[in-house]
Amino acid sequence: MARAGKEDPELNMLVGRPDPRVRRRSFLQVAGLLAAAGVAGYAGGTVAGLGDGDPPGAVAAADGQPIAGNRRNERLLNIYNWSDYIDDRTIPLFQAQANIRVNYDVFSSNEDLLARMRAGPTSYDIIVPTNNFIPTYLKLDLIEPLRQDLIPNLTNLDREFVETDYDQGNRYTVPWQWGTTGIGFNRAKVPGGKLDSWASVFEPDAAAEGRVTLLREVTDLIGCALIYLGKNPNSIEDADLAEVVKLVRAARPKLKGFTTDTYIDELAANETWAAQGWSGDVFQAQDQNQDVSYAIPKEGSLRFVDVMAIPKGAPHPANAARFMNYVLHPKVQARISKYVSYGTPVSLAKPLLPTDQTADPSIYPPASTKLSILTLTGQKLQKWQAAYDQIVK
Amino acid sequence: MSARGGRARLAPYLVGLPGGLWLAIFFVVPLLVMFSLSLQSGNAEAGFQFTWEWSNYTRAWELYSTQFLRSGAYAVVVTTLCLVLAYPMAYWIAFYGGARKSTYLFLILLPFFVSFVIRTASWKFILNDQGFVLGPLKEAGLLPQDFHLLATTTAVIGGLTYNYLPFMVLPLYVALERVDPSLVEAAHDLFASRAEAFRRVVFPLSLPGVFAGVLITFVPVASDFVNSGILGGTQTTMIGNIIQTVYLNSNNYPLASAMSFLLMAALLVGIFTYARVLGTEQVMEVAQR
Repeated sequence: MARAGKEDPELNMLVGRPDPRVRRRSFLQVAGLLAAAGVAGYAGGTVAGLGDGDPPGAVAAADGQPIAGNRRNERLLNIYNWSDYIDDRTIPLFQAQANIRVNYDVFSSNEDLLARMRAGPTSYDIIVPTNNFIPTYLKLDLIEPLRQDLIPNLTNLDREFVETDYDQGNRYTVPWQWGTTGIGFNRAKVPGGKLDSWASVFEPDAAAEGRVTLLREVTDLIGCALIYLGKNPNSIEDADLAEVVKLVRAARPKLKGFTTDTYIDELAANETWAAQGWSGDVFQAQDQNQDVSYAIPKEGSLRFVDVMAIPKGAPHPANAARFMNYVLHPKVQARISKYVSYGTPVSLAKPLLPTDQTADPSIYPPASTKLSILTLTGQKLQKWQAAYDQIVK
Repeated sequence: MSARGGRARLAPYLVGLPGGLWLAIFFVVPLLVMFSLSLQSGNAEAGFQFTWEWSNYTRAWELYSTQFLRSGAYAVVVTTLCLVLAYPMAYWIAFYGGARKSTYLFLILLPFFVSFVIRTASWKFILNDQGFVLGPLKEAGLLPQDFHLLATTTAVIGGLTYNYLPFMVLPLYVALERVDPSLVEAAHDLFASRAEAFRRVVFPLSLPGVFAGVLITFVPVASDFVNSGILGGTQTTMIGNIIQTVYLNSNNYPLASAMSFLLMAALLVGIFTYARVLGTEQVMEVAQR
């Protein structure tokens, strides 16, 4: 995806110099690792993020008007989003425009995020779980209703992102971006330069040994394996799950590994030849390596919406609502979407996007593509996690 | 009088109180919580209930015995490698370091000034298939094109050895530094060869260092997950990686806790056996001299 192009002057004028893009994936991964081992309370806390380099003058005026509706009277916003999921201008521009300082931290798995939210209050004001986890968040009472009056731009959302089964009417969540799960592959390395089946990752050829990765995420791994096996993607049948376990266990010795956050770099570096991955991530690898391509397998796949939500008791819910409103602006949506190459939930942004993105069937798949939206809750959650436990060994 | 005597008797305990409280709050309490968690059942969404679920332990072993054993094997290999590499280093610094001893020690500690995650990640960079080490070698035809180091046992063991080497050097150095060189001279005076003087005088005196070094290397290596996570592949998974995945990815806290306790138990048994075999008393006796 070519990313050259002029920035909108209206959004741009307040900031002279953008913050450098911060890639902190690996550090975060390790913060998670350390937390898991109980080594230190080094996770969870805010590691200084993009907020470090404040745009000139933005924080100097921080003693301005207090913002009503926050629990802590600070011009501060703590965001916890997926790694590699934002352009480098949105945060600086928001900081300058709203006069709110932003700490931006990243995570790399839904389960990781859920585990942290369950563990107790954090200082985060916005988290970005995937739609299939929202029922769990609601059931566990982990997120709070939005101040919709502060988010007039909600009207910009496309209907299908308002009338959803996980959060009818956006009472708790605002879509960030949406995408599909598919396969990122290296055209120069896979036979014939093309690939159209889940078989390439679930039953890799001997030639691709050690060059294939699968997602380290319960939903995508088991959902896509069920689709490949021709089962119902929502199956909780023990027999089906046993087949999934058998399939992935058999593939395991030929895999490079399970990853949700390193495959972008590995695809770009020709280290991985085929990776189960998320559409926009693969396009980011393509930016660095023209041989990388993305396919939605013919067997069908999964579609997901990552949504912004406010953790219960967050310190700055009003600031969070302001940010959500900002993000729903078509120009901001276009900027983020253009950079991350995921689909925007705001159609008004599409005219602002390059046509090679809006016309790309791997970003905006045609209606004929079989895409399922999964919801992970109750018995399914338990059974799928048990199956996953057998897969990871 | 008696009151003062009582206070004097209490004094050592009072001095130990802050440390003791610290341990109680940050070690014993979490440990108990984790133990209770390891006997619960349920899931992340519905919540976990305490049900004396001992099957978590049997299930942990059934599912992951390979990784438990692999971690143990890696730890043995890495500790041995560290010992073999560290002993000459510590020996040389202790006996031939001269005035620069502290400089050499500082050099050994220097890597600690960089986060060990970053150091491990840079090994990934160095060992990369097309990296600046393997790339030119392959180009020159010295290595086959499909040769790789990453995701192999060699890479994981190499990374572990690299990361834990200083932990072995320091206790060895401390022990060797305390060996009086005149004892070695005396051995020579009594017609011991250099090898014999080392075997019968220096090495026995350094045993407390060996003992401590092996302990503080073996235990963290057996539970390490960063090296295998960054440098390893699907066939080098250690038990630490499994605990991490089961905890964070499938949110199965009881199973992950049970595994942690199994690992801890295995390590404790291992350590006590080791102490027995090596004869702690003898080591202590030497240490007190």
